[in-house]
Amino acid sequence: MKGYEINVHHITRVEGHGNVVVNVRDGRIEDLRLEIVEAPRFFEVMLEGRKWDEAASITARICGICAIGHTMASILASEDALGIVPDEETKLLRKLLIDGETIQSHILHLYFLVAPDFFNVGSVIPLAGTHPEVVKRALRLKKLGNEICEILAGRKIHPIGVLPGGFARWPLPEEILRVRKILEDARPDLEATVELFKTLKMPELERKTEYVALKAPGEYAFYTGDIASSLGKVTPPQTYLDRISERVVSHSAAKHVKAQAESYAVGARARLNINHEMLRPWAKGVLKALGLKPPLTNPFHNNTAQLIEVLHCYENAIEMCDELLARKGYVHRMKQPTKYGRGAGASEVPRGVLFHDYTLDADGRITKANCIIPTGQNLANIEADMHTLVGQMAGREPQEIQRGLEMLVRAYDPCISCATHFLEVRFV
Amino acid sequence: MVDRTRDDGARSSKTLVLGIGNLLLGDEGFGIHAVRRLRDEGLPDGVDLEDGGTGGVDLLDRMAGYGRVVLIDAIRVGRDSAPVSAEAGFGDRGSRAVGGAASEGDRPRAPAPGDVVVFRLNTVELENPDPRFSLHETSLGGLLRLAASLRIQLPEIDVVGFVPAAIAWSDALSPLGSAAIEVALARVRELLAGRV
Repeated sequence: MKGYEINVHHITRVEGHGNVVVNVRDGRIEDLRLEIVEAPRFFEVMLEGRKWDEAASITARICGICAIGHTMASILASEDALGIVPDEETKLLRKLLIDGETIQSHILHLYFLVAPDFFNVGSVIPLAGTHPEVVKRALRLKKLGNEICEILAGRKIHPIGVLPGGFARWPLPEEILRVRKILEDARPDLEATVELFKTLKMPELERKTEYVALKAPGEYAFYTGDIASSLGKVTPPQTYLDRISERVVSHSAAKHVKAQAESYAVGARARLNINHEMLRPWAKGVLKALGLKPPLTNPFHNNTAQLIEVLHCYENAIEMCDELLARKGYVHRMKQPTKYGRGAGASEVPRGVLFHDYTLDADGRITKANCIIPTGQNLANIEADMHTLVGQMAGREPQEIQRGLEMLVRAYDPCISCATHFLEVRFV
Repeated sequence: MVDRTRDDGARSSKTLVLGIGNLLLGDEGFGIHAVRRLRDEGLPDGVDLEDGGTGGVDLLDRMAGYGRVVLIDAIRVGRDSAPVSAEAGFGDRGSRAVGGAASEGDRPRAPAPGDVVVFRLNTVELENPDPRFSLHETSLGGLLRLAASLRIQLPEIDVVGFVPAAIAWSDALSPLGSAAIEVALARVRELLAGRV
């Protein structure tokens, strides 16, 4: 392998700013880094000093894509700290919201960030020119998640009614029926999505690693569950600090995280590898039709796992609607705090398991907050995969290797939530 | 599913005031703070108000069905930008013009942090309109190009832009941002009344 250098400043089509640096000399990798700035540490400081009932609305603003997920982890941590156990109906409605968000987040990632690689275009914009129906379909499916959020949680994004103890407003049966109808109407678009992504062949890359995801009895866990590892351990969310450890690495502003092995993966592929037996029938059938058998050891199949999860969440959401509609006569009452203490919550957001941990003082104010995001947990694993990929592609042109590395990083769907979106203008 | 992203031909007469931004990043949340104030103070009949947050590509859907949108957002002005008529807010002391035709004495200059600038979107060059198109970082320029590729007719968009003074993790505006809110709200009302 000859020597070469790759220096990608700001990888395109990932959420936030990521740089890739690779330096190979005489066939030896001398330097290989993925640099992604991790911002939520500052967010923890913002929570400190706030009353417990402010945390959910602040966390809902972290991100426009996984606002429901951040809100869920936040209220689960709060409820643990407040001694609140939500009722079953509240859990059903929360799961329905999560399904809607997961569908829209995965769909946008697959269509807007992943598909352009396979159509050999730089972004979704030329794709919109050559394949407008594909992009319009993505926008319709994206809207589905927003509509569900608006009907059930009061706003299209950044929900306002999802709180510790329950919902500020419980939806009417006709509103749940409307959600069900929106879901049913989306089926042809989802079928077309399956047909499209079936034709996209993921690059080959095999590397064994540890997978970490939540596990709950009788379901494919998104809402919450115990922390499960492919290496065998299952413990409650409150043990997260015993299960994972963060370490500072010299080349990255973000800490690296390890569990039992040197690195681990979270996200759709990890969830699927741990919970695949609990997939709903359509999702399970498509996975089989694709000829894939878990565990999926190719990181590029995180994209495929997202596709499968879209179908699962679709089926699950309809089931949640039916279960909620069957609870005739249910009257929703917010549960109130019984104590102020410390609590931890874990929820599966589109990009993997998210932990929130709050300590409350005697007045119910947050004195300490900790938040561990999925992308931070994946960093060490992405770098390990990059090493394998660079070795596997030895002898290929640096541009080709660079493209492979960028596609690999994108497959993990990394995200930082501090990205600004200024309108950049030049007056003429 | 009804496709509301399609081109419906004739423009609607409805107007939307849309504030966007990240409420947790100081002045980046200027548009959201402005929407909250407008919600408290009320708007003329027939004008809708929305807090667009960091909705990214959702904005296309938000704007669908409107003939006109007044967009309130933080703006970043290109280094070689031409001088414009801009305003800086001074809280209780009102506002003053700091350049352009409206100024008296001050030389026109490029907008600076703390300024409020009003312009029609199609009169400016949008910088960096595409290459880093992603879900959170969706630039409005990228969205406009996407809409054009999909032949989606967008409303006329007037921008009440604020040049941020402080971007940091905070859900409060900087002192310059707080002062500029009054100017921005006045400009929004003037736009709605057809006086700009």
